[in-house]
Amino acid sequence: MHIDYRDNRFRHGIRRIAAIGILTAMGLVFHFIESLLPLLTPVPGARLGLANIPVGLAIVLLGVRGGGQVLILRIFLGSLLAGTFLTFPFYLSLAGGVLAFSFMAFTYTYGGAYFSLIGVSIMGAVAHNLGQILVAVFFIGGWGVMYYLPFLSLIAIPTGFLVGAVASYTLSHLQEVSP
Amino acid sequence: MNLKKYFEVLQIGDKILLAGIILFSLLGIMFPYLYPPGALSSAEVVISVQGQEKARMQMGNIPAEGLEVEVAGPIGIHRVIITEEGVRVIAPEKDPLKICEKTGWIKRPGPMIICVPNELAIWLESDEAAELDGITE
Repeated sequence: MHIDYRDNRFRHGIRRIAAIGILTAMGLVFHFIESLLPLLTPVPGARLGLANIPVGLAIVLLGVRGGGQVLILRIFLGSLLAGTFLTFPFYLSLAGGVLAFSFMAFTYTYGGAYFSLIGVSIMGAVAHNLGQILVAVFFIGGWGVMYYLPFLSLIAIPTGFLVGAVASYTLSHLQEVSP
Repeated sequence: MNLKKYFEVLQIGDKILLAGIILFSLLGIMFPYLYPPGALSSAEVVISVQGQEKARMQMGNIPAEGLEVEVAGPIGIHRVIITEEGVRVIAPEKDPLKICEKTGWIKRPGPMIICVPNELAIWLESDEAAELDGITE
């Protein structure tokens, strides 16, 4: 069963602006909550990716453009609030986020018939790791960091699964709610 | 939460993607074990006492059965064991904490064996960029 989200309620006008605001705020809160969680794995860079939930929701509800807007707003506002703007964590977050978003948007737009939102989200999680590793390679100047990629992409399966499940759960309930 | 419901939602693309990622990850994790880096033979082991370099050896020149070096200091003699695999130290009985012994083997450039009471430091040096211990943010 592929859940077909033809929910156009949030695509235009003031509802769109409100939805972008809400999803960005959600992303910021998730981002903050995640930074409070201790690292559960010995692999550096492994995270839950909770902040990807609103981005996934935005891609479905607002389209690819809306998803991109939510992502960029979250990354810039998040780094300004945390005081990491234009520092290493900011670039990590930007590269991971943009690559994850591109893969998710592409998979959702062109592979919608073959992928559920869980697959889209796992794709995003793996791409997020890839983006972060590439930035780390660029900054550190050695390919040794690549060593972590297989571990990270293995961890990306449960985390991406969780994120995708939460997003599709939210969407299926959102459809029942009358605006 | 009923996870089974979500497994039923998985499409054919999802399953192929999952299989692909698992395959790639396992291959990627196994790869370094299949081809262990030969970099260590070009690395050098450095023994420094009281801030002065006392010995420096190419790891490639270490005999197969290993090498044992004794370093004397104020609290006794440290035995430095060097093999092709790496370096470790056995602390003398008088060493109160034996931190250098507890460090265990160091097998790559980066970590260091340090004994403060004897002012002894041992590390591996390599021209290639050292793998990082970690990044703090």
